[in-house]
Amino acid sequence: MNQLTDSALARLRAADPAPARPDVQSPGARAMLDRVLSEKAVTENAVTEKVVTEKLVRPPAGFSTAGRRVAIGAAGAAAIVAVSALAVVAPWSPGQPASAYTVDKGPDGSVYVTVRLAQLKDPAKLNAELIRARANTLVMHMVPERRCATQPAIDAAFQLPSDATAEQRAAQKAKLPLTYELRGGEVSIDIQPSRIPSGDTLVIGYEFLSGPRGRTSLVRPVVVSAVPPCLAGPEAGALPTPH
Amino acid sequence: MRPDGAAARRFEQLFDAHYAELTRFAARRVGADVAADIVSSTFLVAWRRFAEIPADHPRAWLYATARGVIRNELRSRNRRDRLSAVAGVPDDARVEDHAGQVSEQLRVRAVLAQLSAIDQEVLRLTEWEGLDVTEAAAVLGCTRTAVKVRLHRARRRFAARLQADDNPGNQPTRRTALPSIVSEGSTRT
Repeated sequence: MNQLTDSALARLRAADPAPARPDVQSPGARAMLDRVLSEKAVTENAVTEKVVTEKLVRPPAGFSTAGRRVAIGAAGAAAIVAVSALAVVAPWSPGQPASAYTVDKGPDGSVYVTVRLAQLKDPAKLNAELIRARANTLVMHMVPERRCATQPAIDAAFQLPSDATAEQRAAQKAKLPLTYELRGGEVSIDIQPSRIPSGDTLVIGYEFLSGPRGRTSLVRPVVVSAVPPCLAGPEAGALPTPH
Repeated sequence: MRPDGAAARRFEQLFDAHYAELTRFAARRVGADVAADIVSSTFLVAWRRFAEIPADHPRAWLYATARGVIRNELRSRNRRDRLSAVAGVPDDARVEDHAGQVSEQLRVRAVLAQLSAIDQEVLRLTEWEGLDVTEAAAVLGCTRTAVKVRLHRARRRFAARLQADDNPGNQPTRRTALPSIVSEGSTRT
């Protein structure tokens, strides 16, 4: 470098706009560390955790992803627990183009999400925003049952018998830490993270199917003690009744 | 509940070692008011993927992750059409509203802002963040050679721009005055 460049770079370094060096021992920094470690503690028993977080933020370029293969292999050994299915189905017709989702946080900690399911090609970015909003929630694209042998580890408090009555289903739905509404291809979700039991995660499965009645959007929320590697949805020919 | 154990202790060491510089890194890009959120999200990803952080370049891994978090943050802001000032307007522009208070530092930053995005990025990473070539290459996802080339060009362009700014009546030649508008990897003679 010549003198002109040296001088210019010295001036550039002097023009650094960064604030004074923050104190890592400050209460704010220690609280941040506690929050980070605590959030991991909530789900650290989930063998599949890495599989899911892999989708949230892509690994920085140039760094090894060997850990991903190990995690995916281990996911097959995840626990199998009884199934609870709460599906909401609505006929869908093509709508106007817009952003695939929005995430907003309410003053009481609620997290409001709207998703245009047909446009949600990859939920990774949405999930990153949900993490930022501390929603303790993951959105997963559902796959046909034959491609997802692992049953989600649904919290016992949120399980339903396969022959549950309409009343039982309604009671169970009222217990969920979210309310949601499907309008065409858009789902509006109000998540209340404070109602998610400690150690659990709310997983919202979604699917977008073409069947005899046309295109259909489907949402399946489950409260799980361990994040599953996949979430099964119905086959296109076996859609539940809209309600 | 905060977990105990060796992993938590090692993560705390990582946090202690890089919290300050990561906060400054974020503050330079999104402002001090949002920097804490960026740093928190970055360390959350780091904790969830702790086993994948390379022992030899943890800082570069954290910076690369923080860049991704910042990208998401800026996209989110734009989508919601709010807080766009911080995302789209450099600090310099805000301060220039105060006529007569443009200091040397603001002028230098304004010159930096005239460079291409990649020139700015490689200069920020090396001159402000203090990353070496290997770390910058990891953050940018390119080879060390590419970083060296980019850095050399960026330094030359920045010096030329700054010189032109210092001497507005004595414009340098076209070759040194305008190279920053040439896309990276091409040449202009």
